[in-house]
Amino acid sequence: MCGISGVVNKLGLLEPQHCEAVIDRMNEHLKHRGPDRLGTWHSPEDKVSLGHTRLSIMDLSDVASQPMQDVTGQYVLSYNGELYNYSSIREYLEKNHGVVFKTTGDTEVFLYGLIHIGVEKFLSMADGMFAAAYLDTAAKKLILIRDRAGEKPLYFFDDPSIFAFSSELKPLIEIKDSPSIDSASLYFYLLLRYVPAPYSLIKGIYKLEAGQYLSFCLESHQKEVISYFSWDPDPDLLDTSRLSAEKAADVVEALLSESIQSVMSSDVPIGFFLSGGIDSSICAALARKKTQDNINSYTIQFENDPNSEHEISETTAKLLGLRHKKRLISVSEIKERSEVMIQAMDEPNGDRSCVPTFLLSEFAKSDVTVAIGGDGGDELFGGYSRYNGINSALASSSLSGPYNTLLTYYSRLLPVFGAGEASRLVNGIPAKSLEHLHSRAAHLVMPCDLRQAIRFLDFKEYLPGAVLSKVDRTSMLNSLEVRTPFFSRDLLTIAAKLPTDLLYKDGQTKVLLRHIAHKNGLTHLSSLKKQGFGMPLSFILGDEAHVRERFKNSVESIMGSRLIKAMDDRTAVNFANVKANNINSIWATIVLGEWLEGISNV
Amino acid sequence: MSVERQVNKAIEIAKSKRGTILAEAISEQCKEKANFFSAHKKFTSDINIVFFHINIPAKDSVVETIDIKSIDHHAFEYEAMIALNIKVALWSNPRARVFLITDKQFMENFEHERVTVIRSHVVPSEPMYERVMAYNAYVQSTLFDAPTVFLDSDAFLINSPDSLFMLDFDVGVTHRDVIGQMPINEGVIFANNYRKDCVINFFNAYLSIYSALEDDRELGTIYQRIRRWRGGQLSINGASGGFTKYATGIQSDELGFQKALLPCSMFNLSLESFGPGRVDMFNRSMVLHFKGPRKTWISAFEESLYVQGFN
Repeated sequence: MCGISGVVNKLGLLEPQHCEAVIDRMNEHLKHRGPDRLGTWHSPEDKVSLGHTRLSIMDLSDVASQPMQDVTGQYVLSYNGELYNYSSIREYLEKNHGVVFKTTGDTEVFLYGLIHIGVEKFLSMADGMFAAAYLDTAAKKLILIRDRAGEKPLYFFDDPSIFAFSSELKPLIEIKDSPSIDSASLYFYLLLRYVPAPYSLIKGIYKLEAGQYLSFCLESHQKEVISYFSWDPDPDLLDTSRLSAEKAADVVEALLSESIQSVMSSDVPIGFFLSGGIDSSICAALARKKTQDNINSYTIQFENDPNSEHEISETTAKLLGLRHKKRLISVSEIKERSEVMIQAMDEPNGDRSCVPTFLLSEFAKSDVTVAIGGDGGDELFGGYSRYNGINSALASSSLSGPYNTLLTYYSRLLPVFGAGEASRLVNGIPAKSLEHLHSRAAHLVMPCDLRQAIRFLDFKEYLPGAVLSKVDRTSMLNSLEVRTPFFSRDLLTIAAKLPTDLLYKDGQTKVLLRHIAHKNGLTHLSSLKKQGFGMPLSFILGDEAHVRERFKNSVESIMGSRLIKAMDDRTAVNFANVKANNINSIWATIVLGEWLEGISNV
Repeated sequence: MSVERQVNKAIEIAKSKRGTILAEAISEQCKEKANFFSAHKKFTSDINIVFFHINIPAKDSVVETIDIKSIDHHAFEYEAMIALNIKVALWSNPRARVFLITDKQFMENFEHERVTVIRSHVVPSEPMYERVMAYNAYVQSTLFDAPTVFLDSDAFLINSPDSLFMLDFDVGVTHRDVIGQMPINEGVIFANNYRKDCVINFFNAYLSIYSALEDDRELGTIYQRIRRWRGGQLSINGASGGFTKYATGIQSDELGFQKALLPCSMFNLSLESFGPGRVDMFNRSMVLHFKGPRKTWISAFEESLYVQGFN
């Protein structure tokens, strides 16, 4: 995996050497994403500089280094990701456009695909996870691209004199004039534990949304953001009077199996994250069918955690004949490593599973450079336990309308501070937040079945905002690439066609994946409830003094933060009486405070 | 050039014509029409539903364009279809009223206490242009005093749009992602009435793009006689942003309105099959749209309505 960055010196106010220095600094910041090679490309004529940090996964040679130019020198690409179907696109380009490739990797295919097939058409064909910057020096266009699900991040800002972008937020904070916290984003963080795209916690810095590309004109400085993919309910649902759940599961299994084959392609060692859950276990089971080679799998166990899934994952590994490794994590280690992780974290994410994912990545990295996980299975196939009773849970809301339904969902079923306290802390709901929530609530307009609709909402908001950003940042901090097979085009297509009875049945979630698990011998999983991968409660609740101390210090950090004060003084003061009365709000406060403390030196 | 590329090219041309300023003559025509419509104001309701339909001369009734297979509109019983459509809309929305904007002859004897029939002068061979003009006049008239749903004759409002109108947007359009088809479908449009000027901005863009496209020579190589067919569809794509794909949500448009981009699957559903007793769509979509040859399923649909308590 890699890091990308770039600067457009719009008004030419910066000296070329200064732009080069900016890119070098951003590369340094992104080194953990790609420690193998730092690359730069500068065009004083176009006033554009691009950066790249490379983690070599495919074609380890220097020819595959980036930023990469085509043979004519007209096009340049700085790319972070994996194009899983690069072989077929490569063949298409060779056959139809006579492209002669110099490398065996996917970057060159991505570049020539954009050149010859065109941006939108190419993106509709591309199967993979990626964020990229593609420059056409003749058309004077810089195009930023993000994958369908939002696996790979991409931030940008557009100030009067500079347009800049980066895989991560921190490099941009360093080069932005007078950064401050954005009140709408802070409201989102307090409500959701993460800041959803297109916003970031810093005012004026944005995330490109999943499934979008941004076109920036180097001459007019106009930019346009265009969606090339939106996961929405398909008008033609599978007809269960003609297709049984077993048959539907067979179709899904075949597609998932194909996708697993694709994500296993690598020139470096790969392994599997193996929790006690269905998704990662199915991935390992289908991978087992593909190869007789050794397959490494990794899990962690928390000391004294009664909910630990390690025994289940051990059973799964034994059944599948995996080379399974487990690491025991002590409470003291969680305390210490969580502080390190939060300070190093790119943008605050209050999801409690960040710490375990970070520790698991660190553990897997000791053996492999690529790990395969099961993220996305819950959104696509209806896995979260909160989904099952959602119609009645949200119907009991005293306020009507999709906006209130959405706020109730966030406040009751994914509670952090709740809408009331979040609003109080930032002195009322900011207009931008209100607009964004209304926009997202368009998914929840009746007469929809909320068990269906919520999947599509979570795919657009929770998945990229909380889950995939967690996986990307915590794995990248360890220079580990994590892939998931669940976002192939074909799986997204079929998952959008699933009627409710292929998602939930008899009080159980994830009907189809349970069928697949059962069919593949994982009978011990087929009736398990989803556990999640959060930090054990024993850590937070078991050592109250430690938690109280960190919480208190965090509140002080928030109140003293220059970034918060640059936003407004009242918010800092409001935190003096912050009402954090659940585990999520306590942890979110700690993460925010420690992150702000860590960023005070940036 | 493939159908997809031609359609995309046409949208690109429509996008290049974006603006909200109407030519003076057109603006005057709309105002005059709006005054005429306002004269029909009798009572108010919570939701307005607007249908536009006129009789088309036989020589103009066949649609056949690069993106639509041959359809002869004379093959369908529009009077019965619209009568049923109005009945369904009023059944699913008991606090709604209907405006039927039409010519002097269509459904000549039709009367209903919750329906206002507006008969105005139209050019019968230019149905789509006349419709966009009528929509524009409607939003400028005093009739536009409630949230409004604009529907094709074959688009049935089977659920209440109340909860949709609680969201903060001015105009709602429905999008789909089908290769070779325009992403925004003109057959269902939602307009909220609390920022009327913003809604007018949208409908002005819709009409001004339409007018500008008529003189575009490049477009003339893709679509001909656009005042008759396809010009409205193309113009609403231009007015909605002019992209080839959309993401669900609400966005601010630079032309001065908030647009809700709504998936066709939930707000403008066109099924691929339909049989007697099929009722699942009542829990899935706000509008059921029997586009093109799907109109032949309307009688089966009517039967399924009775299962839902329709009478």
